[in-house]
Order: sequence, then C-alpha cells, then structure tokens
Amino acid sequence: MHIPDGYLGPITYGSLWAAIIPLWVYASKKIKETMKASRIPLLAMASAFSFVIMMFNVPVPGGTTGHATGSTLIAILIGPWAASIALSIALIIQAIAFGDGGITAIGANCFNIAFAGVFGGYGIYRLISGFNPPSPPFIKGGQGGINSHLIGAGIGAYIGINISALLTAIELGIQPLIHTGADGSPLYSPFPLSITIPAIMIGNLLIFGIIEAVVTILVLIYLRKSHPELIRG
Amino acid sequence: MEIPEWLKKQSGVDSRQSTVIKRPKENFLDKTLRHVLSFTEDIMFNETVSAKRGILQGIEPRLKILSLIIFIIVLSLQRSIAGILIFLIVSLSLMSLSGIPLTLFLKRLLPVFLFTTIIAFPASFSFIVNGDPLLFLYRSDAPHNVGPIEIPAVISLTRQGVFSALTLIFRVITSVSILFLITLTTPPNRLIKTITYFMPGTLKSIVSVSYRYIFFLVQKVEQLIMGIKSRSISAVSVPVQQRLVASRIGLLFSLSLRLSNDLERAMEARGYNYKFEVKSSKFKVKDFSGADTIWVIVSIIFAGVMLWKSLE
Repeated sequence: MHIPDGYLGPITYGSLWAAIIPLWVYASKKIKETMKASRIPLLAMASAFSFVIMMFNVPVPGGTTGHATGSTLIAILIGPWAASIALSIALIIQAIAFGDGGITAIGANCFNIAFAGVFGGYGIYRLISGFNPPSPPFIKGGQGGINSHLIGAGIGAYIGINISALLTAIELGIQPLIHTGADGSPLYSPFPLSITIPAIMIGNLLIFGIIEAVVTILVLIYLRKSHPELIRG
Repeated sequence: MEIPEWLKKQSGVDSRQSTVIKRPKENFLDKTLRHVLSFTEDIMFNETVSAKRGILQGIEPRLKILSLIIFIIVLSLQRSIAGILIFLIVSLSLMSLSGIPLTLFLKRLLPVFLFTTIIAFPASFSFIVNGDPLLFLYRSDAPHNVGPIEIPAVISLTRQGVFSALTLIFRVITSVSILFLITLTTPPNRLIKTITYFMPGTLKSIVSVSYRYIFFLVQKVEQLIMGIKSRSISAVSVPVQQRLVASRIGLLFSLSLRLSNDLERAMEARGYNYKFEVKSSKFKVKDFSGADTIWVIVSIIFAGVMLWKSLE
C-alpha cells in the first residue's frame, strides 16, 4: 500500500504534505496533553514495533500470505494520536533510511496509513466497543465486555486498512485527470479510478483486510491471556 | 562391532533416480525469515559501500541528503522522458564515481524495474490510455461483451499510452536510484543523525531511539520465528499458524513495552530532563570543504536548469 516516488504528481503529493503537517503538529500537542513526557521511550518503541510488525508473514486459507500494518492494533494499545505519530515515524524511517516507499510520497503514505487508517479503524472500534479509554497503554473492555471489545477491534482493523487502501486508490486514480501532457498523455500513474479502485480494493477487501482483523483480534486475545494487566474485560 | 541387519538393507529409493530434489514450498515462516535476512543483508551492504572512498561519501551528509532530495523533487516535475533520463544518467554517474559496483546497483534496481514494468505495461493499450494508434492488435465491427467485461471494437498500442508507461517506468526507477544513492553512500548512523537534524527536539529523540531499537526487534523476530520452526514437526492448520504468528506479535509488543519502561527508568536514573532538547550543530559555511562547496554549486545549477526546463 506504500506509494513509491513517481506515481503521484506534485499537486497531489504537495496537497497531502500540506494536509499531514498540521496533523502532526496537532498530534504532538495532543500527546503532550495526554501523555507524560517520560513516555517518550514508549512512543519510540511503538514506532519500532510498527516497523517490525510488517515483517511478519501471516498465512490465509488458499496458501497465500500477507502482512498486517497493525495501525488499529497500535491505536488501541497506545492511543490514536500516539499511534499516528509512531506509524508516521516508522514510515519516514522506512522511506529515507531503507529506501522503501517514496520521499515525495511520505505525506501521502502517512496521511493514508498513519492518519486515516488509524483514526478510521480506531473510531469504528470505539463505536462498537463503547470503550472509554483510560491512559494508554492500559486498555479495558468496553461496556459490552471483552467480546464487544474484540469484535470492535476486528471490524475496526478491517475497515481501517480498507480506508487506507481506498485513499491510495483514489490518489492514484485521479492522476490522469489532473496531470497530463499537451497531447493528453498521463504523466504519473496512468490508470483511471475505474481501474485503481477495483485493482487495489479487491485484494484488501478479500485478503489483507481479513489478515489485519485476524492479527488484531488474536494479538489482543494473546495479550489478555498473557498480560492481563494490559487488558481487562 | 557388528552392523545390524536392517542397516545393511538397501532402501527402496534408487540413488540414480533420486537426483531431482523437489524444493519444499516456502511457507509463512520462511517468508518472514527471508524478509529479516534481506533487511540484515541490505544494512550490511549499505555499511560496506558507505565506508568506501567516493565522491558522494566525501560530501557533508546534510548537504548531500538535502541536495539529493531536491533532485527527487525536481525529477517529479519533469514532463518529458528526456528530462527524466538526464536524472538517470546523473544518478548512474554519481553511483560510478562513488565506487558502487554497477552490477550490485542494478541488482537492487531490478525488482523495482520489473514490478513497475508489470504495472505500467497495460497502460500502453488503448483500453487504458486512448490516443493515436501505433499498432492494431484487434479489430471488430462493434464492441461486444464477454461476461461482465466489455471488449472494445479496437485494441491497439497507443502513442500516448506507450509514452505514459515509459514515463512511469523511468520516473520510478530514477527516483529509486537517487534514493539508493542516499542510503548507499551514508553510514546508517550518520543517515539517521542527518534526518533528525531537520526535526524538532522531542521528535529527534523519538526517531533516534526508534531507529536503534528496530535492529533489536528485527533480531527478536528472527529468534521468535526460528523458535517456531525448531519446534515444528508437521504442518498445522491455517488458524493454528495465524495464532502462532499473532502470539509472537503480542510477545514482541510486551517486549517493546518492557524495553520502553526499562529505558524510561534508565533515562530518569541518569537525570534526563525531558524538556531538554538536543541542539544540532548549525550549518556553518566555514566548516564546509572545497568539495562540499563545489557540490553545492553544481547541484544548485543542475537542479535550477532542470527546474527551468520542466516549466518551459
């Protein structure tokens, strides 16, 4: 889902940089309000964790494997604003230090995965679980108990990753509309929305969304069993 | 000592027939290990190449990274294949002058090239990018449907489509090649220090700590996966496999949490004040070498000319 350099034109990637910078500033303010300064190591570790989680290959029926982004999971575990910053840092390190993902597309990737994916998934989770968050990283089951918490987390993770995928598809699909040469040739991603949306969404709706939901639910079940101090139903 | 009878018996497999060994299919554990291995290999390769003597290794890292990022931005503004190819030639020349072996550089670019070509190739056809036909592949009197798919009356390679596909391929591989110049010519620790130079104080600390612990957690992933592999004696169902992976991710999270608590206590024990901001040394012209000055002048002229040409 990472967009590399070259697929987005300057108007699109410039707009997404302009959108993500105020969000980073606001997220930093929210973190200062809700998190003690001494929790800086937690943010750093969450960022390293979100980088590494993408290395795990998760099997799905049919012999295919895929990886999870863990965006909703991390939002549930450390709070959405902290998760947004942690995932953004992971994406920036991935792009610049490891050459994975584009420099110009950092704004777009952070907006799609670290902001829209995190808040979309976390919002659905809150809605379903009716969960009132105490200070992260401690989380509790919502009003409906641990089952609503797990169902909310699974559905939230599924929707969260699909929101990120849909935004990616839209950003790629609008390129032929806004960036063309004098003879009408597309200068960046040449595929229209009628192709990018099904091409990206089918895989995410059928495989990667399910992987994200399964991983989120199973990790929370594991943490509930092995670290009950983190999750109470 | 006498050899037991059962050991003297020949097995049913004829050694002459068993020369073809079927490679076992790569499972989810092997794929994860492959990712970990390729990550480690890349880092070791970057460290080796960045330690070589070469033109880019000798430039002040902040100046080099800033100028190469500006190159990527100006490249993204190019509207012609010729403009993009100039950047590719510059990138390959810098690679050669920096002592990076061409074969290794191309080996790293090959997956990007193949992936982008597969994605871009369909754009050459009229059903994606309509335009002036270059080569007719299919013609009929009228469009018709095959199931839910509508087959157009004419399918051809179009001039605009081929231009779009080539533009995308060259733009992507050139951007990636410039990005590789950054990662291959800057030692990883210097690279992260340079990235954080442009960030505010608190973020600087988070990124630095995060970068260091990525390597530790990647090593843990390898150990966790090897642990599952060494305990596996037969194939298990997909839900069990998923639980195995999820439990390791959970374990990794609890480990990360414990590490962050340890780190927090260690920082406090050493009197770390969280309001303290690490000040980076400022850009001072007198600190720059002659090579840095020449690099800056040449970069500004090149980026300026290419920007001007792209706006024409």
